[in-house]
Amino acid sequence: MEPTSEYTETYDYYDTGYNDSGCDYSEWEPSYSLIPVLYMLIFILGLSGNGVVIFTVWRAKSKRRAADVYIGNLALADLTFVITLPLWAVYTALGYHWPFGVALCKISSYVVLVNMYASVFCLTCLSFDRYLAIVHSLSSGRLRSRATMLASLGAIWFLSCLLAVPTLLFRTTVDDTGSNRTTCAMDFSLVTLNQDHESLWIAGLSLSSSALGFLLPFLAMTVCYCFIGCTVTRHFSHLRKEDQKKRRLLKIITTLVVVFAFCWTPFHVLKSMDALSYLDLAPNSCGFLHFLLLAHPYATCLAYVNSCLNPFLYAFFDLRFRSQCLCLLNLKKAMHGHMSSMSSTLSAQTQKSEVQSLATKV
Amino acid sequence: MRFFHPLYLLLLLLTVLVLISADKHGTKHDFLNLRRKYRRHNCPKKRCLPLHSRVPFP
Repeated sequence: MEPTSEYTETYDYYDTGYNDSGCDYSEWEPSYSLIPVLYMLIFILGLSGNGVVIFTVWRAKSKRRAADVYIGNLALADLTFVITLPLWAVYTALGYHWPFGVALCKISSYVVLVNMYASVFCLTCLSFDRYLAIVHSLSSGRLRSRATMLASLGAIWFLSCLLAVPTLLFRTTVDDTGSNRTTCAMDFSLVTLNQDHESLWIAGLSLSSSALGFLLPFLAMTVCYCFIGCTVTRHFSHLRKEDQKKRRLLKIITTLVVVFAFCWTPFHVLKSMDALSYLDLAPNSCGFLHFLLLAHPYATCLAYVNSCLNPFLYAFFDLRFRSQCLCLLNLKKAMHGHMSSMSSTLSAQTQKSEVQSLATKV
Repeated sequence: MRFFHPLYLLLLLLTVLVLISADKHGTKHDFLNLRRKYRRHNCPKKRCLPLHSRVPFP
């Protein structure tokens, strides 16, 4: 790593007006320690939390709702999303030196991107499922069948794998002779003729991933919830017991969407601004690029945080999920003879949960 | 409370003296030494540190 430099005077960055002019960037030194720590915290919380969700959905004895299957897949995407974080933590701690080779550079980047898309697509389908269940509850039986759900899940993962292919092709290790470091970056030399052409590729991939991985899904979710909101408002005073359960589930999913937007918006805004600056549609000054360089890692951390927040949201808002999770944990203890006296009570609770589940019809 | 007034004035005076002394030595204030905790990169090109080289996103 480069030795730390000390300065006793301030210096300003300026734009000389030339596209190829140099810039001096100064990074906040603690970032090289703080960001890896944040990555590891997110990794631990995301791994454990999403693992519990997957286990609960898989082992749930009561009938699985369509929403539960989407939530399970969302948890799987989130878990896989954070599983590569230790690599990126080491990468950052070493001053952005990638010691893991070309294969892991490609694979880890590909996995992250696949699961970024899968996560947002699962959330979108979850929202659409709620739209069908609430707005078109009488006519959506066929669209919400098991076969349709499985087909949509297949499409989600297939589309995610397909959209992430460019990163598998272009991501590679690049040796920097000046600093004796190897970075894991995008290399467009095989498909570009000059620097301007490369700028178009960088901007194109960046904007397309933000459009497909955030903007369009978020718009779709917003439309779904607008229709749901209108329907719920119209029938608020006539809510039956089953509708109240739908509304409770709606609240959970709405919270997931709001948290998703809060966590991912800064990241995609910064990335899009960077892409637009390649196209001279956003400021291209050294100061602006410096701001992007400093802010982007923290925006990325916030985006990753979304993957470990979802399990806690389920635990706080979804009574059914919490009940199932506690039953499974207690049943495991009962098998070892520690909670034998409560087994009958848990059995009764399970039966009650199953009855409630059947009554829900969601 | 009147007893503390001279102490407040003394503390204020000491603060001013410290600030003047710092300025006399030609040093600028660097709260928590944050200014010294910067790693500088000299780039021959404007974009020698692309964002995609630091995170696994394109």
